[in-house]
Amino acid sequence: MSEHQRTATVGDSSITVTVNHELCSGTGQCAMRAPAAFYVEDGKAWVRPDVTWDDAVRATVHLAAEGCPWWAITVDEPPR
Amino acid sequence: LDGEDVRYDPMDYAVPNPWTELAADRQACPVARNRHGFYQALSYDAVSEVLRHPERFSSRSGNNLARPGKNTDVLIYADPPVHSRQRRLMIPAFAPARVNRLEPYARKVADDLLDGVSDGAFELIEQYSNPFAMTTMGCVLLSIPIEQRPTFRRWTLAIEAETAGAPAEAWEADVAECEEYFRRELRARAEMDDPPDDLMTVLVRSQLENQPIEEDAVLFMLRILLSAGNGTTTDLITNAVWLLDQHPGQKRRFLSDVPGMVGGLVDETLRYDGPIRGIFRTATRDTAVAGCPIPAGSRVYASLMGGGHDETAFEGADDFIIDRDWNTIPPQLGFGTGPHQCVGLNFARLVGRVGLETLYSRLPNLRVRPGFQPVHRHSPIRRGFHALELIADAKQPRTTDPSMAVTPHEYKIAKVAVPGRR
Repeated sequence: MSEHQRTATVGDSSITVTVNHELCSGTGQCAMRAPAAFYVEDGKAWVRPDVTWDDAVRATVHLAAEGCPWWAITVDEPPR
Repeated sequence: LDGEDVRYDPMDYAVPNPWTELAADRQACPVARNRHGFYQALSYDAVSEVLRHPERFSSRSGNNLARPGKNTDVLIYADPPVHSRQRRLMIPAFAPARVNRLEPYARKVADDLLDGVSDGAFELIEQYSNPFAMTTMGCVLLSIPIEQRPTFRRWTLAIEAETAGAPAEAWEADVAECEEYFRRELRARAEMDDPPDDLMTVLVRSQLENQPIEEDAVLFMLRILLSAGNGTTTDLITNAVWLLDQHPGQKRRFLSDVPGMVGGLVDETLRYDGPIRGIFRTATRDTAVAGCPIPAGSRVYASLMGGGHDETAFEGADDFIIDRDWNTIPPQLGFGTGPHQCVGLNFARLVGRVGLETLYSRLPNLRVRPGFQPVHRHSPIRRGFHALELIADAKQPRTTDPSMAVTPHEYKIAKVAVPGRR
C-alpha cells in the first residue's frame, strides 16, 4: 500500500499521522483545515517535516482527518 | 445590493456568458439576495465558505428545485454525519489508484468511437462525449448495457430537468421509468449468488449503522450517480471543445502538445465553464458571509461559476488560459469544496483527459461547424449544451489495438480498505 507517515514525539507521548496515498485525491481539504501540518504536492497530501505539535495543531490535525473527503488520513495518538 | 439591483441572475438563460454581470455584483457585494429571494455567493472566498460549513449551510432538500421536499438525507442532499457514512461506501470505487487502472480501457473506447466518425458533420455529444462518458463510467460502475446508452442519456436529462425545476411533464415519466429500472436491478442483485461487481451491488449489500440501506435511498443514490457521473463528464468534454474553438490561440497551444497540456485544459475548463454552475444550500441559523447577513431558513446559491471567475483568486479570471500553474494558484472550484467535494473527481479527470486527448490526437483539424451557435440547457445548477456540431476531417490512425481484449470487468471495484472513524 502506498502511504506516507510521520511520527512525532510530543512531551512524553507521540503522534503518528498517516496519509493513505491510494485514497488521497490531493484536493487539499486537510491543508485548508490544518495548514500548519499538511501540504499538497504532486497531487497528494503530505505531513510537513517541521510541525510544531502543540495542542492547537493536534486539534486541527484531528479535524482534518475527520473531515477528509477521501478517508485517507488516520491519526494515532496513544492515550497519555 | 438587493433584489432587482443584483445584475447576475442564474435563472436568466438569455446571457450565455455572464462574466460582466458576475464581476459587477461581486465588486459591489460578493453575497447578495437576488430577485428570486435567494442569496447568491459570487466570490471565491464566499463560495468556499458556504460549501465548507455544512453546519451553517445544509444540503438537505436544497438541490432539487422541482421536488424540494423529496429524498432528503441522501448523498448530495444529506449533511454529515449521514452524508459521510454514505460517501464512505463510494470511496473504493472512486479511489485514484483504482480509477487510473481504467485508462487503457478508456483509450480503447475513445478510439472505437472515433473509428465510427466519418469526414464531415459530427455532433459531438451524441456521437462521442456522451457515449464515451457513459461507457467508461456508467457501464463500469452501474453496469449500463452498452446498447441502452441512448435510454440512459434520456433518463439523465430528465433527472437534470427535474433538479432544475422544469415542469413535471418534462421529466416525470422518464424519471419513473429510470427508477423502475434501477429497482428491478437492485432486487435482482439482492437475490444473486454471484452479483456483478458494480456500485449497485455494493449499495444493495452494504449496511449503515447495522441496517441495510432503504431501497428508496439506494435508488436515489443511483439517480445521483447516473446524473452526476455521466451527465457532467459529457459536458466537461463538450464545454472544453467549445472553449478551445472560441480561443484559437489557446487551441493552437493545445495542439502543439496535446498529451502535455490536456491536464491543464481540463482544470481550466472546470474553472472557466465547468459542468456545474452552482449549488444550493439552506442556512440552518442566522449567519453571515462576507459581511452579508443571511437569515435562518434562507436558500443560498454558491456560484461555482462566480468563484471561478473571481479576479482576486485568478489573475485574468475572464481569460481562458490552458497552461496556468495550478501549483501556485488556488484550486479551481469546479468540483466544489468541503465535505461534498465531487467524489468522482478522479474518474471525471480520467474521462476528461483521455476523452480530449484522443479526440484531438485523431482529429487535430476538428472545428465547430461554421455558423453553428450552441444553446445551453436551462439550469441554474448544470452547464452544458443541447448539441455541439463540428466538422471532422483528416482523421489520424488509432493508437490502441482494436482487438485489445480490455474489458472493464478486469478492473473490479477493489477491496480497497477504507479506515473507519471514531
